[in-house]
Amino acid sequence: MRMFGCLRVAVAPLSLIVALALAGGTAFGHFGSSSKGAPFAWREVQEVQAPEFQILDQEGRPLSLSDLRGRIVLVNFVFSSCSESCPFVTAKLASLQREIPEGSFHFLTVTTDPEVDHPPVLKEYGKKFGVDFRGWSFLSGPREALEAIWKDYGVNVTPIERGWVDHNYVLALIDAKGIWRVTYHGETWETADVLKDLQRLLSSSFLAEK
Amino acid sequence: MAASVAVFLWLVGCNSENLALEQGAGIYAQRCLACHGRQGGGDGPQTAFLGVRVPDLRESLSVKQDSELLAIISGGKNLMPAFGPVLTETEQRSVLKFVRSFK
Repeated sequence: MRMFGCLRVAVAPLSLIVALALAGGTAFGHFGSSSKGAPFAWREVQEVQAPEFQILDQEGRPLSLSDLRGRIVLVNFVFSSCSESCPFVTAKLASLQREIPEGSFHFLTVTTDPEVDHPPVLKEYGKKFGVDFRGWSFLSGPREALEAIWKDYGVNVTPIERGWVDHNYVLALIDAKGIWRVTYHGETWETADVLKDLQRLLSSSFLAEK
Repeated sequence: MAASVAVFLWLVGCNSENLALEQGAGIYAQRCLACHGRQGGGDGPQTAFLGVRVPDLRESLSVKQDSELLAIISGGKNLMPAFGPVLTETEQRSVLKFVRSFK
């Protein structure tokens, strides 16, 4: 059962979605499923100020979300020793990074396992995927600081044992003004869909087209 | 007397071998099976879920030395994570021992 922890938790946020929808203030662009038919990813359109945070990057330098104002920011959550969906999510993001113009976007990968994922570990992790660190930061730091970020971005993290945590998958798209525009829940989102959203955000036509 | 000692040491050796295999099987089930599959065939449930292809581990077993396989377990390869930061050397060796038991 533990082996499929990440998958199991991936479906859990359904209740959260329903609750948010009932509470109002959130619109769902569409409920999606991957081309493989896996019902584990859906896209949520919203318009709220992205929660600010300050944490350490893969070099151990402090980095705040507001430092990236002026760029479109993608925030996601994985841990480096995950052998389920995390590496596939990181690989998809890495391919996405290669398709978009340098300088306009910044990827933030926040660890869900701060006990293992110290900055040097995350730096090696990023290198393994061939990411361009000029536009991608891997974030870690004290558990208390990370817990606040996880909570703000709707990520539920449950430590199981060393190097193993349960967590759900969130990919947040934040515009150049720091407004959180889109969330992809789950891990089976398509890079083409995310790319389309990024292009809309870049051309500032997002609000007209959502 | 010497024979008794030899039998005792053999039994202890067998027991530690079994313990290592058992430990390796547990770690494999938790951290490797999702992609590599029950017998290393690259047919774990995660591969179907994400539509990815994982090479048959048994092909590597026949051509790679233990040191090479341990380096992969520790440092990862392609999408496979690096387990060096989370597994002890003993645990990594127990996984190798279990994987070597695949037919």
